[in-house]
Amino acid sequence: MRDINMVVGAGLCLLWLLVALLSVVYMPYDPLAMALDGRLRPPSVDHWMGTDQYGRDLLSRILAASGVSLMVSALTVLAAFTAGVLIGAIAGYLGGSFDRLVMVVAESFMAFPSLLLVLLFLSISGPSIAAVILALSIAFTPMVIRVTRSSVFSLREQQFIEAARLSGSSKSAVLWRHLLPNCVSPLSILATSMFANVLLVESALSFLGLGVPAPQATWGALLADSRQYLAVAPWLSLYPGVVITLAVVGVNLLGDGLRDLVDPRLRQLVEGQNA
Amino acid sequence: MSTQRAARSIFSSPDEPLLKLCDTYIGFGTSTLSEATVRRASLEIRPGSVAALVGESGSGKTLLAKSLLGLLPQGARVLSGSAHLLGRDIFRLDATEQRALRGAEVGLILQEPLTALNPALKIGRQMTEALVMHSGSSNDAARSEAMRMLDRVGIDRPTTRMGQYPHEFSGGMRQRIMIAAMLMLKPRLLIADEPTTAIDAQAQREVMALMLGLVREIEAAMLLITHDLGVVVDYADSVFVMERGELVESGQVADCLVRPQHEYTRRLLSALPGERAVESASPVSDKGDPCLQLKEVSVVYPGSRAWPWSRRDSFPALSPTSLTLHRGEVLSLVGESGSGKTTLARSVVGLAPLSKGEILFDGAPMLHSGMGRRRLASAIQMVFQDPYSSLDPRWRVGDIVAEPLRGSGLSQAQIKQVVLDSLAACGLQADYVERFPHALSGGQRQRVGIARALVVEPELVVADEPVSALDLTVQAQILALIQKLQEDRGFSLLFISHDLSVVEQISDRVAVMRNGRIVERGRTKDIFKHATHPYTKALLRASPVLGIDTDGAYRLGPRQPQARSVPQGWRCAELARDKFDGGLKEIDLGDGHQVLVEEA
Repeated sequence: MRDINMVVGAGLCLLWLLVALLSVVYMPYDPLAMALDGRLRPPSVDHWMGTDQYGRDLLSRILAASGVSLMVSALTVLAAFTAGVLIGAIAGYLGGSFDRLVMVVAESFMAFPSLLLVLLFLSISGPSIAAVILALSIAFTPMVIRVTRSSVFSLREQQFIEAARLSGSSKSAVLWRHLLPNCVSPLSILATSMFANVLLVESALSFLGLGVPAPQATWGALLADSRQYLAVAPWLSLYPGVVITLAVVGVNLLGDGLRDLVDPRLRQLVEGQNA
Repeated sequence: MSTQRAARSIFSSPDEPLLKLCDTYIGFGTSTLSEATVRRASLEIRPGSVAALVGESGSGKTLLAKSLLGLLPQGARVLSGSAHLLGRDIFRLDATEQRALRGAEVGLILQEPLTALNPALKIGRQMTEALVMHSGSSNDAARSEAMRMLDRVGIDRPTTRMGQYPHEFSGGMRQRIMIAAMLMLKPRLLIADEPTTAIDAQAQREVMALMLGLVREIEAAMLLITHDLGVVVDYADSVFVMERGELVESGQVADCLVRPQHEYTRRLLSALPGERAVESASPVSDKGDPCLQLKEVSVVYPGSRAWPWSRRDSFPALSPTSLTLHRGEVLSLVGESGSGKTTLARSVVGLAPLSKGEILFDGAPMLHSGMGRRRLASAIQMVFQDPYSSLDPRWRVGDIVAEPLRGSGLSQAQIKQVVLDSLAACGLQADYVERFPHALSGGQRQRVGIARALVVEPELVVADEPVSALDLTVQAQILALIQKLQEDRGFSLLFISHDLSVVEQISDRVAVMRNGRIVERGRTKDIFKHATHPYTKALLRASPVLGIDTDGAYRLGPRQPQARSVPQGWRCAELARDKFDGGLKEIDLGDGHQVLVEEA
């Protein structure tokens, strides 16, 4: 059962990656080409997913958006985790006044809805892909800090950490070899849910006109644009919605599978079930 | 209520068993009778008597007890058999009837009083809740009954106490409260699952005596689940020995534990400390130079403060203490939790910062920073208490054991060989190298922990309660292993335990600690034969000794130490936590047998 989930998740993620790569070299139509005589056409043989309010081919727009959405989500999660894990682990392991300072800052960030923070940042910097990624990373880092910090905090009292210290390992060695590997489970869950979350927040930003600037399509923006035409052209909402859902589900399944794979206790469970 | 009580007495005539369990099989999921976890269990308990159920973890004893309460874990069920209590078969009752049974007819006392009480509710509320629910008595009546019971179990000022929360009581007091709450309902059968394991030696006996007194008073019967044969001998009437799901031996305590028929019972008994010839232990002076010297070492933990600007209340975990461990010597520190023994051990390895004093290792002050720490890592190693948290769950056994060798300059091949040698010395074959800790039993894990400590050939090993988390027979194996390794390799050993009986066989000298001080110390022989401090005597009473008579019968009895006399004008120091520690000194009673005294 777990294996099937993992395969499905990996398959969906791989598909996403392939589609993003494919869109660079081939698309059925120019995603920006408008055709005022072919507006809001339902799915047909020519246009598999129909056309939007400007007569642009929806399939081409979804393909064109896949790369941007993938990049924004992946880079944001990567940046937030790089900064968050480092800061959180050091704060949790060292404790003391550094820990208190970090937690005060992180928690005051978390007191605001992340969307609000991002809006504030973007209204200063103006919308661009780089600004969106940076703003999202800053907004999501405190959550990573908190999860890492609390995992490390509870692990550091374990006797195997003391055993490592008594074996002459330095603090950084203990952090790298013992503490961080044991944080992988909670962090991988956080990473996959954050990935999905970023995708949704990015959609919301596009909706508010502060996301990746038009006419560049993102999945969120496609969904947002379709709202006015929900009654007359439901496919405009349906297809981006389905794509986003598949991507989110795929990432979550893959994340769960990876977590089970790297955790020796769960790995045995998996092997036991297959035997 | 009274008519109910009268109706019951018809069933509970002394000849008739109160509980009769017949051919019971308990299994998980779809297991067949032969695969069941508990197989063919039959037992009887008479009113007013105590039956002990003895066995190691995993033997099925807790499962059997839970079935009597209708509280089997998810997936487990009674496959066959019957359990008649007061003429009704517990296994045939529906959920509602079983709920009515719990508390009213069958009471349960759990091992861990900290988790058995709800930390968010005042104890008065928790005590009265069940009584109101089961007997329908009014809140006021329940309150006064609860207060009466609190008084009976020796909790002072019951009126105030009723309004307090569980965290305001010590472990022993919480266990008394649990007992009061359970016995208030006047159950016919009381099931006590390791009721005294979590509390300290002195309180254990009081709690057991109290529980038994109350059980006899209401003419209930008690099923006592324990691994402690000392408790069984002292308190139980009949005993049932369980091994891997089967009752291998049952009968009166006086027969079963004197002339055990089954090999497993004999193994359990021989895991107990015997009357060994401790005289053979070499005198202190024969040992080499001092390996470790503690000079007036004290450790004070900073407490919390009420306000940022107020002073922290500090907590002295270790009062100034001096101690010398000679090369190749085994010194045991014994005391209950909070006595400072673990703090002392941790200060030696550098895990607890010294507040005052100094520690000399090989005659030089210890440096726990920079290069000093690396050097010490190859000279001092530690064996930890908890075999589960002391091994990194993500590391393979081979890497765990090799960890102290990092930075030793050995090649990969050399490291591999040293690791294999160390594992082999601890009784683990080469194929364990690739395994993860979760695939090992507690005893195997502890062997890995020992192999890790010995892989660098340390001069000093600190073992912090290395066997307390293990089953009795495994304890004996691990102890024997540590003893053999110490004799072969000649390292100095600082052995920490809360159980005096564990250290008798292994130690050259023993120091008994209480409330952050050493109250008595001396050669093992002196401590066991001539315990003088009342606290040492109490610890000794808690560990009965096994003797074998000339006709082969086993004899379990308390030790009878002959105290040495303390000089005129002094008496053994009573160490109350809140008392000023002035005027204490250690007096030598001969041959290094010292006891802490105060002016009389």
